[in-house]
Amino acid sequence: MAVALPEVVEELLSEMAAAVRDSARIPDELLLSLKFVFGSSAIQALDLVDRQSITLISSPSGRRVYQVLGSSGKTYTCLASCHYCSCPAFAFSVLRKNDSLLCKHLLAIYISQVMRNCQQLSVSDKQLTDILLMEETRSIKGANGTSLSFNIEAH
Amino acid sequence: MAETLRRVLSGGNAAGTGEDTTAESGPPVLLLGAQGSGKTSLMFATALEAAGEGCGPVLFLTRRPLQRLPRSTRAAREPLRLQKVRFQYPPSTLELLQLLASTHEVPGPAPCLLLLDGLEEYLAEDPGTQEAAYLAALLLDTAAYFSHRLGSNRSCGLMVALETQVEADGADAPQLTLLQRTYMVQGENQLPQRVI
Repeated sequence: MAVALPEVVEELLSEMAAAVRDSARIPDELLLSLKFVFGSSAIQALDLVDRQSITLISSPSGRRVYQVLGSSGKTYTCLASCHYCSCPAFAFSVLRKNDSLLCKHLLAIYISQVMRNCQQLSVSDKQLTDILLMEETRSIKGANGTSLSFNIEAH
Repeated sequence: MAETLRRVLSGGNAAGTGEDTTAESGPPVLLLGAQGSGKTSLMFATALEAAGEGCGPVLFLTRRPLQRLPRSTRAAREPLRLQKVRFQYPPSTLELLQLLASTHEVPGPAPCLLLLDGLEEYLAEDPGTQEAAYLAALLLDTAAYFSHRLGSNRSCGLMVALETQVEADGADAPQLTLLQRTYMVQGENQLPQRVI
């Protein structure tokens, strides 16, 4: 099930993908279009892509999640299947105010998909569960009042 | 509404349609209605319909077990279909998130339809905007993962039922707006009109 971006954005991303296939770089006019549509988020997103900040995490089950290392050093968890990011800007500008379509982290993910240059990380199924739960459930208590704590083993 | 449901259900079985089978099951369905408007009955009927031939199991999530089978339909009298509906009862938002986040750890065939009845009971825990958004997103992500598991010409539909107040209630509005933004298709069950 794909959640669709507005047609303009879809078109822009597919033009970028075609350009990258031909010449391995994004032409200036497409970069300008990106800036026109997304404003300053576009520059920040491109910067994140340049710094290889996007990691696609997958497990043997085939389930995937993205993590983006933000400019502040904090890592955000993103679900590309449905345009979700754990960053405060997403919660504010996209969800609450409906100002923006995407935060810079989600835009960076889409650009890195086009450029095919995100890092890849394989984890176990259990570790992927922990990653999916980690960010969002810190403040939620369970039915018996307990909260979650995690111990992810490094590779 | 019927057309929407047909679109959600047909995503699970593209055989014989003769159409381009690119596994787009259509947008998720958010079913809104006041208490007693028939949402659970409709969800249950949808689950049984989807559990028909050629489709995988159906996953039905709700906070409390159904006290009795909703209004019977022809399909409800076919026990084989009922056996393909897997009921799970996460008692809190946290347990629901844990369930959704760990579905990929569970072996076996992927469901062709994921239903959540009574979303308002989980939102009543007042989880906050970010957590409510994540719950909605994780439901979509779980359905997307099931679609991926089902393969290239099948996909998993998603249907969520939310009880709304009959009178407009300011306190509900932000969460409802959030869900509407996440889910693109809605059906409204209004008393006393019944769909089934």
